[in-house]
Amino acid sequence: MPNDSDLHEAAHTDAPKEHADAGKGELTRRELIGIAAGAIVASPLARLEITAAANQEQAPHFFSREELEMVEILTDRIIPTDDHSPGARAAGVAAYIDGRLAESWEEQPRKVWRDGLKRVDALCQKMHGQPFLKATPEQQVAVLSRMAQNEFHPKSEEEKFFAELKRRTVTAYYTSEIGIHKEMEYKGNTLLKEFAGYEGS
Amino acid sequence: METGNLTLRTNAIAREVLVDKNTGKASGVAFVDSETLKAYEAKAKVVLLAASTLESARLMLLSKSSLYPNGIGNSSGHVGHNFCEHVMGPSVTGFVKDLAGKPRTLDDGRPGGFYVARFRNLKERHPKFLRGYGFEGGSGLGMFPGNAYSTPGFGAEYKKKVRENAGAFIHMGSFGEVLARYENYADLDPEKKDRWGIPVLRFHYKFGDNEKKMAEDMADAAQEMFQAAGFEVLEVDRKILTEGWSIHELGTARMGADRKKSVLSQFQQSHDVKNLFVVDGSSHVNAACQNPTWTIMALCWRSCDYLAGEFKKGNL
Repeated sequence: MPNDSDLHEAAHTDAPKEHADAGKGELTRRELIGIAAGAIVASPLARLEITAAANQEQAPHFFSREELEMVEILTDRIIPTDDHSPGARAAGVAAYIDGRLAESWEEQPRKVWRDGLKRVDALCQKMHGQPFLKATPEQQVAVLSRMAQNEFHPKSEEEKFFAELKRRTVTAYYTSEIGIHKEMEYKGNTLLKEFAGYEGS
Repeated sequence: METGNLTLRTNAIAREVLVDKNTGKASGVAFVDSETLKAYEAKAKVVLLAASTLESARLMLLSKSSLYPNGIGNSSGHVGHNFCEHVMGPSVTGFVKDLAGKPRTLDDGRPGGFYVARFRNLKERHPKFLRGYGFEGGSGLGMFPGNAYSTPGFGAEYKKKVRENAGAFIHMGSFGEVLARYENYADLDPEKKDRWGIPVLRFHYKFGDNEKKMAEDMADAAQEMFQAAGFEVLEVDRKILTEGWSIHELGTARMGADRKKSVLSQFQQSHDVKNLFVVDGSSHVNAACQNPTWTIMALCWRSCDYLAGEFKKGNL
């Protein structure tokens, strides 16, 4: 899969190997050094160049309006709103993916998404006799469930596209304001009154 | 800097240690300005190389003269040889179920990273390999839940699982000693040159049987430790990362008492050229399994004390 969206941030540790990101292409040793010890099992953070705030009024940069609506629904089915926090749609995940695809140096990721969305429509047509945007929420979930088979060893083109869809959704959602502060309740970037375990002044 | 006796020069690409033909001592360094491409010579009473393990050896090999046809300080023929570093790769990832669903904490900057010091071949001899390795690892909540990539599925249940399990993962990986062997070496490429026309290094370097057997034990021991600690082992990676991965290069101008088998003295002073010192990782006789930087700094400090004393006595 194309992997233009991940940028490894600099930190100061010799963390030897990173797990959760495995299978996304070999990281170099220099990149590995850039992964903080406290976040060894966490993925390197994606660079947030495009604001994650959804802006429905603004025309998409790469997707057509219809494609953007599909991506809004697909990503929101992957990470929906629950009683804990808002989901991918509210977090502006589709707009973020649109921005990253538009600015990609390579043509390949755009092709993967354009073809992938067509395949989602075709699969929905085959399963439910109508395009994805016309399908009911239950039918849309059924389409995604079909695509999510063999998630970590995808075989068909639809299955491969699910892996890409989920990877980008995860990167976008958990680096958005909603993902960081509401969903994960990240406590960073705040002044600590005390630093437990540290006895210095 | 305040004494006015120190000049720091940037953009200077050193290409050769110059030699006084009459005394056999180092007389300075020839360098190229990387911006203007002009050639310069800096004259010196003492020359210290600290260009890092590979570049210091390269400079010595480049410094050929009628007095030192194999390169300066290389009468032993050991410059570039005994190249060693750390073998890496084997690692284990575990899940600590007691930590799942715990309240959010700020773990950034906390000492959540850990180090397991070498334990092999200290008292008992391991039947399959010499020397040993250490583990580096960590756990805790970061800003980004990496488990979101590896947790299967989608939807509300997926989201909840990612949220609850983030921060409950633990990981560690290994750094092992690559034995210093004469057969592992770097030398000057007879054809390829860098952009300043200076020959580059080429490498003749492979892991041996000892490194491979050690790596097997790294994976086994890591798994055993996590299991004994009660962690659910999610993944055991047994692959060795390729040669050079550690970027902890060492040993290309090793120190020693026998000048036929070593390049430098215990004070990192060239056996052949007494006013030439090499104060970086190239002097190390082995890689051990720890990060070498502090040892490099400590040795450099010690050597500089010695150098200052000898210089005052007029021995250099």
